[in-house]
Amino acid sequence: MSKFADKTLVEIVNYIKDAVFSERYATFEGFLQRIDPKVKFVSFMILIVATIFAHSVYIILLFFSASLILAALSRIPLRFYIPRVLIFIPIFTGIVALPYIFNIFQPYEGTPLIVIHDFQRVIELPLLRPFSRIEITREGVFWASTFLARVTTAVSYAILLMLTTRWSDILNTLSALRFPKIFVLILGMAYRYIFLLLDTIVKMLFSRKSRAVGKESSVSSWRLNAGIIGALFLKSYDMSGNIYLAMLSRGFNGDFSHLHADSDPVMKDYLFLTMVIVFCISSLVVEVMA
Amino acid sequence: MTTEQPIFELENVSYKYPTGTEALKNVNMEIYKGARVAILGPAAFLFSPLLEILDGLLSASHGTVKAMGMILNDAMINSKEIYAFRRKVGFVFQDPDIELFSPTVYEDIAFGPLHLGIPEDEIKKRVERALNLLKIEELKNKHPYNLSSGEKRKAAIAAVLSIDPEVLLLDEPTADLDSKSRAELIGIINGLNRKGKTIITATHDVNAVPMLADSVYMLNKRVIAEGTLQKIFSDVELLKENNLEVPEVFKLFEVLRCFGYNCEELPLSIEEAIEHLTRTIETAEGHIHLHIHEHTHDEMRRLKDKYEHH
Repeated sequence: MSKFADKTLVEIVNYIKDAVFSERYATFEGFLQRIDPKVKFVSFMILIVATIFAHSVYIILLFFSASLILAALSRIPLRFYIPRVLIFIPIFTGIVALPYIFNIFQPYEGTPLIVIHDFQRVIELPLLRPFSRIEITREGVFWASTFLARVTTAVSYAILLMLTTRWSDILNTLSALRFPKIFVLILGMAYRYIFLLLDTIVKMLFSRKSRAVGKESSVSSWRLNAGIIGALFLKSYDMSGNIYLAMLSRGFNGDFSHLHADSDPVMKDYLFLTMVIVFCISSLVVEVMA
Repeated sequence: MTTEQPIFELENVSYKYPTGTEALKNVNMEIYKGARVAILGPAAFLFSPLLEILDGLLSASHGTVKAMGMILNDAMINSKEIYAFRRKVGFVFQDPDIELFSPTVYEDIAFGPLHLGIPEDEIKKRVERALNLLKIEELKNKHPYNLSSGEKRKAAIAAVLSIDPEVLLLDEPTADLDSKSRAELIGIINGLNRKGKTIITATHDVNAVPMLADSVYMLNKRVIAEGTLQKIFSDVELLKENNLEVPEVFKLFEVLRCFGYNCEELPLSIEEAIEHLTRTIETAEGHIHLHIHEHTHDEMRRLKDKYEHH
């Protein structure tokens, strides 16, 4: 594997360990951390759905600003929060949205903003006529930026929920909200073991690196990578069998149970939920009226 | 400490992996209530099937397994009656990562009692008791991923102790532990035994065996030797054949015997050694007499050959 791929993998694992597993921000005494996890989960789902329904860039920006304010109130440093929201997901969403700014990927005639190239003299065939001019259109740019802003805002709420809530509380909330038990179990176990396996990959890479001398050819490198993937598959397969045995040994019978949460929502939690609902409805009403 | 009826009785038990590889062959074993038994062997992969059979997770390919008054066969393992058995027998797996699958240590410790139908109030008490016993209260809200090896091991043991089993099956409990955690853990396990729990430990750690067990089954597919620690560790050739060693304290006292130190039964653990030396000093009015005689060098050479690794 190339140095770039090695480093990327190691950095991703370290980033996730640091940002997610440490649950550093979930233990802070901030605004969102004090809200009951069940109420918080429902409130954030409402905010995400409202963001998806918003069409105006201004309203979406309003929702995004609300997420920044909530992050600041929850003592999450914005220089930590914003890059996580802006860098990762929009990059991938941006790749999806980018083609739509060009006229050739749109089903309708758009208002040209910038003409990239004009093939009219070269391509005369009727079937190729739509491709005779490549231009960026006003409608395309608007659509792509709205899409990007919507995804960014929805993701910002999801990240904020994850940062301010312990993973165990999220799983307990899902159980309390009657999500299927098996779904919660699989989610919990996937979260638990995926990084253990990622750790194993990193260790395998390091062990390979420590024994490698000179530059590897691509073929031999890919052969070794295939070996690592195979070993990992066997390890995870073996592990899954043993985990099941460990569960059986402690009385698991296929029906997954949870301890009931000690706390119930109080007045301040309901107040937060009400504020969220009022904010979402009023924003969407303003958008419709405008 | 032992009673008449064995709580585990294995008669000609064999087990083959689905691949056809034989893991156990005609194993006969009797374990009594309150006993401390070690299963010693050259390969860890042999321990797992035996412990899984004792825990009612696997059924033997051949032979009879009687445990806690039940016959553990396929029908029993798949019946609801097995849950009564699960309340009595706890199994600590070798890899604590396997045992810790919940989002927090607290939930992992609560998992057993919760799934065995124990009321929630009682579960909370048991979890707190287990956390307290293992001295890991501060870890209860941590994600298992963020724990050190020693902490994981303690959390895994706490997860089984919360079931309050009568029998503890331990697969390599001292593996990956630093010396302090190892000593602490051995102390906890022995404390549990003093409270009447039966302890069955599978291990390669010969230095831990004298601290964890009173009798040993040596296993290499079949039971190749069984008996007291003295009997097993005196047969150095057999240990060598099975890639095992004699505890360091035992070796030291054999050397001391070459110098004329008088002891019939060689101590196997530090505790026994201290006891032995104290007794000797008391009887010899504060002096231990060692001397080099004409055969000392020959004796030393013989010992060197005896303990030399293959």
